[in-house]
Amino acid sequence: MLVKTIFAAIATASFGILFNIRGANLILAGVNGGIGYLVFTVSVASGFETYIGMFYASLLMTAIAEILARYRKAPASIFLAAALIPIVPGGRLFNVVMNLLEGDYQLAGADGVTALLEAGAIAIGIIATSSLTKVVLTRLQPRKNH
Amino acid sequence: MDRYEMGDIIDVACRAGKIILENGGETYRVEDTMRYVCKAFGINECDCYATPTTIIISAKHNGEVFSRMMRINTRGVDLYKVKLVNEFSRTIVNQPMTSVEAKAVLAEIDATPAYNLIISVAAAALGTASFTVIFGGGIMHFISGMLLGAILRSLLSYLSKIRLEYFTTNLLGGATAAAGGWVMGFSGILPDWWIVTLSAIMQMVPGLIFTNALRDSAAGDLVSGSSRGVEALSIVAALACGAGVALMLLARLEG
Repeated sequence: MLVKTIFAAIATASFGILFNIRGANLILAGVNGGIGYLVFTVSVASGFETYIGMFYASLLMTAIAEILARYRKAPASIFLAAALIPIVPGGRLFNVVMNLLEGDYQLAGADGVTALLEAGAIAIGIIATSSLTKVVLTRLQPRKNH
Repeated sequence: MDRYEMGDIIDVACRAGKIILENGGETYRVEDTMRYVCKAFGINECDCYATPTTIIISAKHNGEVFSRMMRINTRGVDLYKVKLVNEFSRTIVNQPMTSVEAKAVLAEIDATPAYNLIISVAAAALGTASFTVIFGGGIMHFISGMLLGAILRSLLSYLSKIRLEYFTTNLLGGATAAAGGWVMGFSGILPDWWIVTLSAIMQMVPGLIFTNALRDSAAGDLVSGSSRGVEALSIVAALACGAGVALMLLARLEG
C-alpha cells in the first residue's frame, strides 16, 4: 500500500510536468496526489465502497489544494488537477470498453454505472469543498483576495 | 483618459483573460482578472463574460460604452502561464503601469516556453511506469510502461504540433495505447498487457478539464461548466472508441 502511494505521488508529479507545473508546486502537487491515493486505499481496505473512498480522497485533496493555493499564491487547479488522476475510475471505464467488445453488455452496464457513480462522488467532493472554502475564507478575511 | 487609451486598456484586459482561458484556467478566474485589470486602470464600471470559447468585455467611461470580444480557438494546458497571469493581476493593482507596459508583460508571459519535448516524454514515461505499479504490475510492466508512455507522448506532441482536432487526437491516442499494449502482450513478454495500455491512457485522461468543469459549476458559471463537462465526456468517449476499435481490429487479425 505504501509503495503504491509513493508511486501515485511520482505519477502525479510526472503528469504535473505535462501540465507545465514548475518548482516546489510540482512536488506539492505530487504529495497531494499521494495523500489522496492513500486515503482512497485506506478507506477501501477498511471496507468502504470504492466511490466512498474516492469521495473522501477528493474532499481532502481539494481542501489541501485550496489551502496551498492561498499559501503559494497560485491557482488551486495546479495542486488538484494532476493529483486527481490516480483516483479517477479509468480502469473501470477500460473494463466497460473491454466488456462491450466481448459482447457482455450486462457486465458493461454494471461497470458503467459504477464508473459514473465514482466520477460523481469525486465531483461532489470537489464542488462541496470548493464552495465551502470560498465561504469560510471570505468569513475569515473580509478583504477581497483572489 | 481618451478613447484610444480606453481601447488599449480593454485590450490588455482581454489579452490577460485570453491567456488564462487558453491555458486551462477557470472561467471565474478569467472574469476576475479582467475586472482587476480594468480597476487598476481606473475603470470601475465594467462587465465581463467568459466561456471556454469566447471573452466579452464591456466597460463604461464618461458616458461612453466600449466593448470588445475575443474568440478562443486553442485550448491547451499550461498552468505555469495561468499562474503568471494571476500574479500579473495582483501586481498591476498594487503598482500601476501604462497599458503599453502591461501589454509587453503579457506578451512575455504568452511566450514563456513549456518544458521541452525530452523532459515531457521522460515525464510521461515515468508517469506511465508508476501507474503500472498502482495497477498491480511487475517489473516487466514497469519497463514496457515506460516505453509505451514515451511513444504515446511523442505521438501526442506531434499531433498537437500539426494542430489536429482534439477528438481525433484522443481517438488516435487511445488506439495507439491499446495497440501498443496488445502487441507487447501478443509477443508473449507480458501476461496482463492491459495494465500497460491502461497506464499509458492515464496521461490522456481529462483531469484538468473535469476539475475545471466542476469548479466552474460550483462558482455558478453554468454555461462554462456544462460545456467543459461535455468536452471531458467527449474526450473519454474518443479514448474509449479509439482503444475499442483498435482492439477489435487486432482481435480479427488474431483469428
